[in-house]
Amino acid sequence: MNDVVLILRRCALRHWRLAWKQQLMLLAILALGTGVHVAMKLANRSALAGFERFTQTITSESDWTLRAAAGPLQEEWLREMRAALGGLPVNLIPAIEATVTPPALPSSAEVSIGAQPTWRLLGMDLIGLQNLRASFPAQTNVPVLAERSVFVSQGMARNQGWKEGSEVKVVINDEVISLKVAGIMPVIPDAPAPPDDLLLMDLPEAQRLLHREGEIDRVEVLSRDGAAFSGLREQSAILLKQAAKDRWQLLGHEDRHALAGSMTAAFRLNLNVLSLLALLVGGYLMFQALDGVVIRRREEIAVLRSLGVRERSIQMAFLAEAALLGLVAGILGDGLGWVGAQAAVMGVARTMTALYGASSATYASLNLDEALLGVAICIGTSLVAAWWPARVAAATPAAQILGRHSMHSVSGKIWRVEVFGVMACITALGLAELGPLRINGMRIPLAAYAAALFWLMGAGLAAGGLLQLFRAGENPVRRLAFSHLRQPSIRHRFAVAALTSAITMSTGMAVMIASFDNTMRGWIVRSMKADIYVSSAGAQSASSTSLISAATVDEIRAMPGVQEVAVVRHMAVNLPDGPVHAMGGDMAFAQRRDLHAWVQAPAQDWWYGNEPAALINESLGERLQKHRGDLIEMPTPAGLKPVRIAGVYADYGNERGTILLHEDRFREWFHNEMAWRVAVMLKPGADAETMRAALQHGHPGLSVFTQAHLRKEALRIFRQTFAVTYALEAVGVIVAVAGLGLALASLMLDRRKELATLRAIGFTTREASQACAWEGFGLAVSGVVAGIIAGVWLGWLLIERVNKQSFGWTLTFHFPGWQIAAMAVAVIGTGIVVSAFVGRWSSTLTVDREE
Amino acid sequence: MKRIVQTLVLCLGTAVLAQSPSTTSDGFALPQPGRVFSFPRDHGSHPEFRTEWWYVTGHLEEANGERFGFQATFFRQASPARQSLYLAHATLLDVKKKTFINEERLNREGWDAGASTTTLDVHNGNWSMNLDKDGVIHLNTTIRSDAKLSLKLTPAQPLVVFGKDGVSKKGTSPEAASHYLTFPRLDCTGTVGEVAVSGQAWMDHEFSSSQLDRNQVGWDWASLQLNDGRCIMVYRMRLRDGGNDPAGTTLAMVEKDGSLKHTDAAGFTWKPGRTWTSPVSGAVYPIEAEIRTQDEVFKLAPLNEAQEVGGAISGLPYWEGACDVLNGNGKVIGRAFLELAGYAGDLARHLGGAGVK
Repeated sequence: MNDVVLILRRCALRHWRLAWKQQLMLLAILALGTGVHVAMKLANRSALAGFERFTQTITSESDWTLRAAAGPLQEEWLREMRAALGGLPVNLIPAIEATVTPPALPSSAEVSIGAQPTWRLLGMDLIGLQNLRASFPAQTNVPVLAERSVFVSQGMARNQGWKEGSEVKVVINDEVISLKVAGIMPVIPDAPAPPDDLLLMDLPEAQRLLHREGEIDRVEVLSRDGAAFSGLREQSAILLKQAAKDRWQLLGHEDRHALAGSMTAAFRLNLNVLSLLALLVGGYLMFQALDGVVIRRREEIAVLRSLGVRERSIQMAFLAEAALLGLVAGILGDGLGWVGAQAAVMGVARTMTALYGASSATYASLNLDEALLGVAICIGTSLVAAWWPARVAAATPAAQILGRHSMHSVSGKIWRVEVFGVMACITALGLAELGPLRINGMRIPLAAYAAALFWLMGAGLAAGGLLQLFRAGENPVRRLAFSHLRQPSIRHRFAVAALTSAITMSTGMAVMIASFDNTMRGWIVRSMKADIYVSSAGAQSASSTSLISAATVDEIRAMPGVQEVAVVRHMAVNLPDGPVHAMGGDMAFAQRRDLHAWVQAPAQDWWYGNEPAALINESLGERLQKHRGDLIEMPTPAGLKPVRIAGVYADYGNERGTILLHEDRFREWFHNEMAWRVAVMLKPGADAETMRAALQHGHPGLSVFTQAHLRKEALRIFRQTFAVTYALEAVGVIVAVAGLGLALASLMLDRRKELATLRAIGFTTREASQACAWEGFGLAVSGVVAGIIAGVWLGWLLIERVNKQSFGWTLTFHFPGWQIAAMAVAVIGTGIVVSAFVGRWSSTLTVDREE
Repeated sequence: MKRIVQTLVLCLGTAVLAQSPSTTSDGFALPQPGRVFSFPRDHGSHPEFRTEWWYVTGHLEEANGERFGFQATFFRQASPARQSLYLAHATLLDVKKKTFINEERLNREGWDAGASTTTLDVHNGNWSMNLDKDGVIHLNTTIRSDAKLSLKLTPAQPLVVFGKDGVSKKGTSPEAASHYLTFPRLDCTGTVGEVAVSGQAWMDHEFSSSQLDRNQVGWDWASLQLNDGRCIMVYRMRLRDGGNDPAGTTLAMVEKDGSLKHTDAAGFTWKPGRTWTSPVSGAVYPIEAEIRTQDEVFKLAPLNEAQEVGGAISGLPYWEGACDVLNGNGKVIGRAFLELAGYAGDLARHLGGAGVK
């Protein structure tokens, strides 16, 4: 052990001091890799947590949540729940929840979807809540329960400049309602702070404003064991389940977390896997850096060996050095990650909000576990990368080094990295044929992700083989440069591997996004054919609960210039494996306008048939493994109804799945007269923009879009989803290009004597720079070519496997040639420039330079 | 606590109307002399009155003689819009362990709180009290998850109606009155947790529509169950100047055979004794009292000092304690419950009725 410490102190640390710039670069690369991974993890966790915080802050985390299988719970059922619990001291807290939004400022222009913030209106029994004194703010009197009064969080009051008595205007369904701030919710010690987008209202008043008297969305069940009662949580579950009679479902906090988690699992997994790319690239670069270190310290190693230092001590010293690098980089990475997370959390939360519902997260915290995990991942990566160079260092005979004064970098003959690479790629091809992992209705394309990882590694390792293809011709400078590529060192290979991995990922993602974009555009054109689309102004995200009243629909229908109005109704229902959208629509309208792109088209007579059959979207078909002709047991307020699948249509609007019923059937089953979306066809000659402006002016609580604007908005939201993805790809490519420069710098240091000889025979600085640039060019071209080729398959994998298994969406393959070409040119160009600078720097190196 | 509502009745103001009105200005019913009570209907709720409560206190013993004191109270208070809030209290005193626990409940009328209008059937959360067809009252309460009481209460003495001609006058105002029905002695059997207990309880059921008077700040009230079979209900309303309100001071003696005799303020004295300061509210309560009639002396000695009922929700803590009754010689001659309200702040302001500042 003493030997190891001595080597570390006398050799490693001395080299760190002498070559601090390279060490700093290496640390930065590793830290960046770790940081990106940590940032994504924190941002994901934080954004996900935002889903859960709304009621927890009021009631603390409940034992159970009761929800109806379909539609709302009926308030009268609460009596049965209480009766079922008998004398057990269990609190039942009913709640109603809705999304609301501040009205848009009067403007003639069409607004963007999501431009207005989405707030949560939570209706709870403020009288009954007084019984939860431990978790509800202590008050000396019953709270003021004046009409239209709300309590807001401190954060919201601060952000909006509200105080007690302030007037607040919100859009509830299609009405602009004026509320009054009755008080600011205090922060309770040891409880989560109320989120910044919460409006708390007394339950009866919220029901009245939402036109939902007698309905509630859920009941929180709270109990605490004491001296006279134990096992209350379990007892209450049994009793409430016995009384349910299929009317309500019991969700534990594990289920709630799982539900929120499953809704966003695919998206979060995508980001997490993508964030590992930076770490993978960092690992490659660590390997090649340590390989260079071994080469440059060869004489020291030989001397140590001659002095009797054991092989194991030398190996241990190198591993300890790598671990130390990993430790420092890990700590730096945690810091970078935390900083990055603050930026990423907004992007991730915004995307989650747009796709899945309101997430209130604006801040990502780093806890000790995550910090330690970040450091551990970084140290682990360093150790894995250092293992082989350390072994080589320890195993090299001293006499060979001292005698020949040389030690070549380990060559391909020994390593056969290409063979490993090809094997990894073959493994990836095999994994790609496996199906998704299905857990509680959640589909995780685990094998596909593993295939992607193996493919990335394999492509990177195999790409080194391309280096040997470079032929120089007559140009002596180029001949010199390419001679190094024809006998590539491990560092050459790993510089290419890192670049290949980054380019593969970027190409794959670009192919997937382009295919998505292309498919989406076709789908949007096909499905959005009405002249004007109307929704509640509160409908700022996919999960918005804001609806349009039947009276407003009638007013729209009666407007001059309106030829036809089609209404889509919506209700969230819970299938055994998770929530799904139940919708009711005018099927005759859909058929006339040919709105659906079919995966399995229905029979012609279905459109007018009376059988309770429905269309389902592709996501649901994939999730349930159901096809045309199969039966689904659909939860309705009146119990389960068997529904035959008449057809399956492509739908890129949601991944939870949709069951689309005839409008009449939907109204009969769900007793819902409110409209979710309204499509308006205008009479010939009517101007869409004029109609939109008139409708908007008459109904400030509505969002009114022309067809063109809605199509544009749909694409904008879709593209926004990938903003974080682009940032992660960019980090990977930047790290890889930086690694290219680092690898070349390391190689130039090895060639000090060679460079001195070249200078002695007349090699100019310019020529040294050119030689290095050509070498860098070779590396960059190899990485880019291999990366693009591998990226095309990765793109296919993402489209046909990851996407299909995660979301059930069929996408048409599209190769974005110009985009890929631009990236290739940029990377190769940058590689050449970086290499030229390294070459210029190398011409100043002296033979006796120590580092 | 129940006397909070009595105060509503007692302190309506000083105007005396020539004839008794039948309703308050906002339409709630007022107690009318000569009302014929019908049971079990009149054990149930009377939503035409603003305020109503069902109130049980009692002493329990295990087979080994270990003693408990308990209270269970269900209040109903209606708003002018006829929406009722249900407040409830439950307490348990373990005399040997000297532990006193209590819980306060508040729910709006509806699925989690309410009272039948046909018989005694009142509930608040998981607490309930109801009358079965055999005339037995079933009381089930918990105190958080720390205690559970399941009791059967069987009347051991007939129901009495306090007041003249069925109306219990609480002050000078004609509105300051209530219908006041009491079971002065109920035999109890049941369990505290899993332990079998038996004992005796007192139950009041009172309904009225009145408000606090600005001159009154609180009251002292007691129910005594003497070993010789007699029972006593006594209270005095305390004025802001420290004196008693004669119009709100009464002692009612229930003989063993159920006959009733009222004594007004001139016929007895109430002398406060030792005080105890609550570490929670800081209120100073005179937890001992000496009640002296022309013939007898009754000293109330608390079984535990700490018997303050929280007021966590209402903000109105009060002391409601199990006591022994001693005669002038210091001999225990019965058991009692003593209620001391208005010692933890201005009760009138907290309760806040019209005309009360």
